[in-house]
Amino acid sequence: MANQWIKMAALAGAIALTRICMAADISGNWIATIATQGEPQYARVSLKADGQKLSGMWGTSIIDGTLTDGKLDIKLTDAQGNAVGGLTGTLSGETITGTGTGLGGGGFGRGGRGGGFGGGGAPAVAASAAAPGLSGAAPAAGARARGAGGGGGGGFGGRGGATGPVGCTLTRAPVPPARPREITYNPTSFVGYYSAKNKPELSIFPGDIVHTWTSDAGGVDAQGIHHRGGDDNIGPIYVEGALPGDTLAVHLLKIRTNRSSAHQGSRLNAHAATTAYLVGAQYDPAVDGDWTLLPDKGIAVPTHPSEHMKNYSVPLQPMLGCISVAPQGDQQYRGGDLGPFGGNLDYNQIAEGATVYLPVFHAGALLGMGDGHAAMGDGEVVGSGLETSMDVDFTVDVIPGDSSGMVRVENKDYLIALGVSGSVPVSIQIATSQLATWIKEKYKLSDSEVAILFASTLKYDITELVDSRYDVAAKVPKSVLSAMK
Amino acid sequence: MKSTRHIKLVLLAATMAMTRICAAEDVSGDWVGQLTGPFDSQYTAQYNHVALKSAGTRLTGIWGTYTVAGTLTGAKVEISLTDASGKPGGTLTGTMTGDSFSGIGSVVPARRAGSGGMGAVQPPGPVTWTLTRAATPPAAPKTYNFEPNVAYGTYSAAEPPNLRIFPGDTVNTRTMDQARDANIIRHGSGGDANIGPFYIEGALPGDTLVVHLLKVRTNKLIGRQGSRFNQYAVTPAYNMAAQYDPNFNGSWEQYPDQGIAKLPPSLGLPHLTIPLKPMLGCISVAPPGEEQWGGTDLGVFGGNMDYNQWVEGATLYFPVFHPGALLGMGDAHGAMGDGEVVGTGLETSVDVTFSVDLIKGFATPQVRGEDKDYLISMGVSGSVPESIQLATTQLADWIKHDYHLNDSEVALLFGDVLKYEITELVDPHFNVAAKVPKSVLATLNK
Repeated sequence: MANQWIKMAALAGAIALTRICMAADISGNWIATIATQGEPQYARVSLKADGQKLSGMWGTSIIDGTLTDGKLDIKLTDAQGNAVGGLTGTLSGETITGTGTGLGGGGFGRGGRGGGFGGGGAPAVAASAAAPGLSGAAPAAGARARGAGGGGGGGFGGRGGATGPVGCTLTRAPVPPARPREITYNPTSFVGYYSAKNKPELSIFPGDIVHTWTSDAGGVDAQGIHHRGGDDNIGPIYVEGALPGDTLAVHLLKIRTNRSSAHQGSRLNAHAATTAYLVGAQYDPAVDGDWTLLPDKGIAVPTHPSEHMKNYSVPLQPMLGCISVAPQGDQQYRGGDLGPFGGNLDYNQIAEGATVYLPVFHAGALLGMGDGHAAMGDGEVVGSGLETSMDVDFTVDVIPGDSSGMVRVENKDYLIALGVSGSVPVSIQIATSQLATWIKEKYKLSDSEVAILFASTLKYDITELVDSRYDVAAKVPKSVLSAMK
Repeated sequence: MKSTRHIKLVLLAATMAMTRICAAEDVSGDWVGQLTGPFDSQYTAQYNHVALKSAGTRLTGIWGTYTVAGTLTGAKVEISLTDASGKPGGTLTGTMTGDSFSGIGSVVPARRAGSGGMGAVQPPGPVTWTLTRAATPPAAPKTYNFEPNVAYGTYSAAEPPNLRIFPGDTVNTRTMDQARDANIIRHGSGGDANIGPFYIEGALPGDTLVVHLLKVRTNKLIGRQGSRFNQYAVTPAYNMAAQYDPNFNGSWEQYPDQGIAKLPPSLGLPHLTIPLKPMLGCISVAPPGEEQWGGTDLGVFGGNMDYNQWVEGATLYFPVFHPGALLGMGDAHGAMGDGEVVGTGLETSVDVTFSVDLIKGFATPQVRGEDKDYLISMGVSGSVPESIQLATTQLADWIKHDYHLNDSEVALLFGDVLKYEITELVDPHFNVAAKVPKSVLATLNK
């Protein structure tokens, strides 16, 4: 009996010792949050402790340092061995706080690519973004690259960073569950504005599968309950591990209508037809735009058809009009707007089976979605699709870095880049440029090669003509790309 | 025996003479009317389909949209014209000479192409006029093998026709590419020379020329293509930073038998293979009036539309601006992506077989067409947004006309199933296609 107590005491002692050792072992993955005058910057940090000696990576910078009695002292060098900065700090529990320089510059190896689609020389942009890190202005680099993406600019100029030491906090990187979860999410929050201020309703890890639903653009769900409206988005949903400069990949596993009614406008929008046409048009109030959805037959039919449309039907092609992350910085846009953060893209290829790549501007990305259409022609020329509610299943991945600064899409047949701007011609240019930059990097092509590839295979879709901004999609067939290598 | 035969011959001759006299007086049938104002050339004159019916000295019929009432006394003719609302449209007097009429008169001037149908109705003005017999089609359609020996670098009604064909006829021919063709004399500088023109008998302004592309096949093993993005395709920053290889080899090898084209291997594209989809970059009628446009340009007359769906199997509808329409074609591409973003497709030459038809008395402002799956409208203008509007509007008007839809119904239809294509970004004008699937149109009650 006594023997057993001794054994137990020894075991307890061993466990306690282990815990003490573990507490002292800071090896593992951390997220550094770097305070700047503007938004915080982030870096992925991996630490390895060997006695007092510390090694690891701070973004793309190499760590060489020590941990003595809870005091951290590390130096950062780039791949060529040049000093790029350092940090001194203290470990308290599971948090490290300190000050340093060069903490954000190399934080995202490809963060500089944010504005890269604006320029053919993407590698040069990345290099110039990394360069400020050498001079200690590093925290600005990531922000600047992302800012350029948002504006569609060239990724150059502007916003200088703090030159002196900045404050920094490291916390443990979130640990994903042992295996992806299936999460049934009944949204209770419907946000009418895209903003980082929206409090996350749900937190998920990459790989988790979420079963959820959206109300229609007017806020009405499958049961006829009225929620917010105004192209509201469910959520937002916090994606663990997603940091600014990353790309959030949203795989749309299922998008299905979940009620039998939809509604659509029946007047052409001002941007879709000539002024003379619209002035002369005589709209018929009897055409009410009510639809009956017949998912079993895969079609929709007018609920009160006019004589000419007695036998009329359109194929169902359920899509999400809105899919979004929180826009950059303090920006706040209404649900009907669209931009680099996605939003009301109204692209009829954002349908079941598609993957949407969204640039991440804030930690957790803050994913939202809504505005389901049972079907819609190009350009949303009557200002709406067949507006209805949807059942949605999706999963997400986080691609560290790799942000192109704008939304991209992939489906069975195409790689697709979206160009959102205040004019159709500029949207065309942005879409083509973003796609070219993406393909050049992905397939290691020269400028001439990507030009001739597009010349023979590029397709455009005019996706959104009628909202606050215009959206054009440029796409190349995967069949040609797959045969290229 | 001999005298009987003489009598018979005399009788036959007399009968024939009488028939000719009667025929000369019987002006019933189809005519082409020409009204020429004091400021008109043959290219700006007004041409109309005219149908006359004579009973004794009375003449009735139609002259374009006017109703004809008049008399034919001996060789002297007097005609008054009335529009659909009963308002007088003008008076004509003249004489008949052989099988044609000519004279003078006073007629309300036609509204000019491009005037948009606006402005005050003009008072009648002086004209000279002629009536000539409409061409009579052959008993059965003909097929021509047409070897082009001339091509034009501009679009103009002044170019003399090289072949006259009737609706229903079929022509086997070939186009030249941007390069020189040893057997084709090229008139006019600049690119995108069109073969032809083909004069389509019976086509008059206000009609629609229907061109069926029965065969469009590359007849060359090379398709040359540029490898730099045009300024309208990418952002200025992209092109400023782009490092194009001046020696990049864009000469595709075309394999018509396999239906593919291969790019000469480069470092990043060692095996780029694309499907051949031979198209006509240019297909045109003569532009309105005395307009003369460069070969690379495009407009309401078609021209360098560079639409990658104008391929074998497609049918195009052109508004006719001149008698005979004056059809031309050229600038074949073995394949091309949307927008012609590098300024070229796989530039090549093709063998073409086409046939033509006419829709009399109906035309839309610009080119439209159809393929197996879609009804398609072009919108050519100086800006992409305006091209979108023009394409949508013309398609709406066409479908309203053909399917008897009202404005709400066509709007609903477009909201559901409209597709756009950006066909031409890089030439002097922009071109956008709007289209609707025929499968959905088939569910409409006309």
